[in-house]
Amino acid sequence: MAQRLHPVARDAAVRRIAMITTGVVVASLAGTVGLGAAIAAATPAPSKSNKTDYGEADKNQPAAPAPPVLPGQPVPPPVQPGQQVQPEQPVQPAPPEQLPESSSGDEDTTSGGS
Amino acid sequence: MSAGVRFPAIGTTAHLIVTDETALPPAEALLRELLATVDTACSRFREDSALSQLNRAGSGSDVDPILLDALRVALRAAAQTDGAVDPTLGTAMIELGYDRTFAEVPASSPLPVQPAAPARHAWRRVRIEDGAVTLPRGVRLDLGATAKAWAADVAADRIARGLGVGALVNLGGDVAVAGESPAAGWKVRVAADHAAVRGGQVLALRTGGLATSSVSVRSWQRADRSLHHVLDPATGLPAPRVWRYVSVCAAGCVDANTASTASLVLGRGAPGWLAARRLPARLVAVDGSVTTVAGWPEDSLGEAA
Repeated sequence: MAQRLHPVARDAAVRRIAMITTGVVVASLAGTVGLGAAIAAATPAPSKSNKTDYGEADKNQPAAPAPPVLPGQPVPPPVQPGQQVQPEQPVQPAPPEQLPESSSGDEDTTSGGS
Repeated sequence: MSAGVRFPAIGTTAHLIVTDETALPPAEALLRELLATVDTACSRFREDSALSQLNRAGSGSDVDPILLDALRVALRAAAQTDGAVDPTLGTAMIELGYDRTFAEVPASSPLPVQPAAPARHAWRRVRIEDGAVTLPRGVRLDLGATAKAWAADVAADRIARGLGVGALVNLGGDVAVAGESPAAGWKVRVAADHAAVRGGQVLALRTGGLATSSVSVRSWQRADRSLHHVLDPATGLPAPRVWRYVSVCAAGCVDANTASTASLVLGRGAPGWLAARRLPARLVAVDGSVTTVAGWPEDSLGEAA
């Protein structure tokens, strides 16, 4: 059978409930934000490969040059039994470190079909 | 003061320029030696080359290290282009009539050609292990799409490092530069033919490589069919003529030539493909119209394409 509380006791109970409710809400929000941050960190940004952009190259993005393959370069060590190997993704053809510039006058040489 | 030399090599013309004229003799010697070893290893027109031996046998152990490196470069190009640049099209090339050095290929013949479509992505089944190579059954390698550019990269790098000079190596239109360039950069004309002295566009190049692939230079006629040497791996036939020639600038000559060759195969998809990889390029269509991509400089002279 419900018992009517003394007003002081009632007010104290209300304050406790409010504190607990606030705590639960804050904890939930913190957990949601943390989970979202973790998901964002684990998920790569969408690729721009579908974007057709014939404009200037992004000069703020440093281009990693592809080094020439020289005879006699050391080969990587063999894979050990049980060793997990990630499939090697081919490095794409790399842009030049410096863009070519328009020029004029007599050329030093010609790049054309042969 | 810069100095240069030209000489025939590997079925085309080699052009070497260095920024110090006193370094030209040793640089030329280095380049000639390198080209001789590459020819011995990788020429499909020499019966005694390591490549010809591998193609005849279908496999080989203790394969020539130069051939191994050239093959790895070719397979990497295939992977980068998802097979658009494919080193396993040697049989198709032979069936189309390009079975000897291009200078010896008859310009026209009434005999028709109908090569069988090659196996798709056979390059994925080429095995390299501990110096041994195994080819898929019936496959013959042709490294023409990458070997020249690779040799240009290696030669320019060795000359620049070994002699402490700026160097430009041009092998049949595949251009690699290394070391410190001249103050105004290396002036390179891009055109349909590597022997051209007018037309196209002149650029200043300071780093990396520049390559141009064309459908109009290495071309020949069989019956009523006009053929050229850039094959579509899907059909084993010459790629449809969308672009007359494509010039690409990249971090190295191999990358540039991989991209320019792929562009001829990709056709109308080439500008988007190049732009996605931020590769400066100039594509000249068969009607003469010019498309530029990824920061390729404007043509200040406006010469004919």
